[in-house]
Amino acid sequence: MIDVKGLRKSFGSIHVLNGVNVHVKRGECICIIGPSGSGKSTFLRCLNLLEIPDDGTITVAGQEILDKGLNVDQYRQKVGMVFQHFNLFPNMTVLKNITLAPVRLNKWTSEEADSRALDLLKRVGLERKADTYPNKLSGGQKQRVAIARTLAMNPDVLLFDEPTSALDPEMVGEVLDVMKKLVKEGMTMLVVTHEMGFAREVSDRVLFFDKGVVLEEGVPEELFAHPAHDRTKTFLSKVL
Amino acid sequence: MKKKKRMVMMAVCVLLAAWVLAEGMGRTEIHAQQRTVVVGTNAEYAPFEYLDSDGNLTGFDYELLEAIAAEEELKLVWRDMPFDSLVGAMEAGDIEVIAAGIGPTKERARSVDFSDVYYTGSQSIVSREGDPVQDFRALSGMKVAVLEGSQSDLIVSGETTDYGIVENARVIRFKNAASAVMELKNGGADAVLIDTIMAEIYCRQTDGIVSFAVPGTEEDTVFCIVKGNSALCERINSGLAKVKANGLYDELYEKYFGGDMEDSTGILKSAEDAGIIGKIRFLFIEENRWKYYVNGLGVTVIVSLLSVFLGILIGLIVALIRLDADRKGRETLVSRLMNIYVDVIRGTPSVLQLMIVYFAVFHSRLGYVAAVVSFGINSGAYVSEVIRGGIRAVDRGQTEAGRSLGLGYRDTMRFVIIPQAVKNILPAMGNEFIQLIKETSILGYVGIMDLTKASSYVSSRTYQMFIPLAAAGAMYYAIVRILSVWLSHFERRLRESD
Repeated sequence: MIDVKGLRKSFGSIHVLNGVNVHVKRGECICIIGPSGSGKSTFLRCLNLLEIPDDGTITVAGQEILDKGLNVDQYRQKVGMVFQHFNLFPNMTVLKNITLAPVRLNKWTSEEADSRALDLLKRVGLERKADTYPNKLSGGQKQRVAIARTLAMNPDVLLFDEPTSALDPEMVGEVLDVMKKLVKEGMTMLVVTHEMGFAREVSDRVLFFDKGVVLEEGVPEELFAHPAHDRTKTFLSKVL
Repeated sequence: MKKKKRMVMMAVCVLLAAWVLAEGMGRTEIHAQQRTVVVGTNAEYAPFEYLDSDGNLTGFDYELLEAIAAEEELKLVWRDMPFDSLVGAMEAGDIEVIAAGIGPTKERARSVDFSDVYYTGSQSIVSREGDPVQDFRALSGMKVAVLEGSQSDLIVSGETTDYGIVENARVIRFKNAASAVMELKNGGADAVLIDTIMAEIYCRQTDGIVSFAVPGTEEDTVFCIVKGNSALCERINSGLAKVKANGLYDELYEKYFGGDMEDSTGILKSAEDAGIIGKIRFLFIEENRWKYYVNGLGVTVIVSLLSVFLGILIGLIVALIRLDADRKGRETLVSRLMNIYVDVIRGTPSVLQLMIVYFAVFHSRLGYVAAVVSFGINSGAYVSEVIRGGIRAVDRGQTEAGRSLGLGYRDTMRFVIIPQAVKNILPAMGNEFIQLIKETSILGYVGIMDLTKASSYVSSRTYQMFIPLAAAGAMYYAIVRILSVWLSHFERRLRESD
């Protein structure tokens, strides 16, 4: 489904990605781990074209997305993104946060929008917060709304950029539960995370990023139990 | 409900715009008619030319030239403007005749033609009773108040030595004689050099000052006629001769310069000892002087309001163009021009901008439109920076969230960024509007009677400085208060969604 080859990106003189090769199958859940500054987030943002890579190819569902002629807005509808800091729109109610994009982009009619948004809120367990403004929500609730908002576009792939890093520890669980449900439903997901428990429990594969390349990858049991590289070992010993 | 409100607002705007346009169009229409002569004057020089209590132009020059025009079947269109821009306006082709008590100096002869002499005046030195000044020599080294650009100005500045030599005087220039006399009374000047007729009126009105006519300063007063138009010049001269022959000239002379000056010129006795209520009656009620304030207030409010709308429009467009360039990281020709626009407007005084727009661009026509355009352009530069700052202050994550959902740049701006930016922008925008309202007080520079000009006019007609000006100040303060209360109310309502 997603095929990344030789991806490179630098900011000025700092080389963040130094030739990343990743292949993702439909329905796979991939967790991306690694020390900070290793290029995990930048890689994810490249997939959504929030950053434009300097070199390499990204093919999604047979389409080369770095082609000049690509309709970026249309492509992004298929690739949802969940941010570390939620980025809910503070000027709209929870319901409006969800309905804005699908209604504007003619995915939903304005008549059906509210009920469809409520369905999504039910899926993340927040149907009672529909008319609340984001600043009245806890961090965990905000992130669940953000997930519902992304789901509204009915994407093929979901990208999670450290979705629980900005949360108080007691709220991490509720967000991870929602994500687990999505995995079970067969959503294709790439998750940059520091939650090793989540990675071990639900992901199909784990990628270990270091210095802008995928240093090591494998099924979680293998990678966590028998890391091949010293750097992976050192990293895991620190976070586990 | 909201829509209705918006409709009403729009209708009001359209009406205001139409009013301003009509106001201006009316003038040009007349301009286009046959046998019409546009006359420039400066109505701050009673009894030669001034405004009566209804704001209509009158005075010796006015009535005389109208009488001449009647003889010669000319139609006159009068345009009131600052004294020092009269000759410039004639050179620019905006006016054909100047009637402003002007003397036929060599310098002026280079730019304009002169009619026959219609009045001969002389210069008088006005000084305090205690230490009177009686001749030019005594003026040397003194602080001398004069009317800017007048004959007296030339004498004291040493630019003309035809009447006597004044050495090293410190010249204080005023826009009207009343301010000059007030400066003398307040001790800011040691003497005032003005036309004898005016000096005598002021001495009669004001206690503690005396005037001395300076022998040998007799000077002629003429109408200026646009250079090379000898046909018009001949008609005015022939008209003048007829008016002198049929006695009308003497009538007018008697009316304006004869015995009872107070009745004829509308200048009233000093209200020094009338008590506070009498003073207020004198300043606001008599001669319907309150009308100046009401009209001036109207001009101030309407010009400010329209300028604000134009400023927002310009500011929004400029801000969006510049933000777009920022976003793409690449300047286009248009965005570069916008940068220059903001830079230049913010780096130059608004008075100069107004004068340039009014005199150079609009050639003294469509005064209100010129004013609105000038202030709108000025305000637009500041507003664009306020908007740009407000938009940039919205977290980048908001744009990313919008765009990552597949919303385009426009939709993201419209639904996500701008509504949030408005909250950042509003307080600064309110300040900008308040600033603009006060800024319009420079309208007097281009002869538009706004609130400030109205108050200084009343002050010049009543010889009172404090109360007329303070009254205008109170009115400005009231407008600003109303605006800031309304703005903070509006801001509170916006905050409720947080």
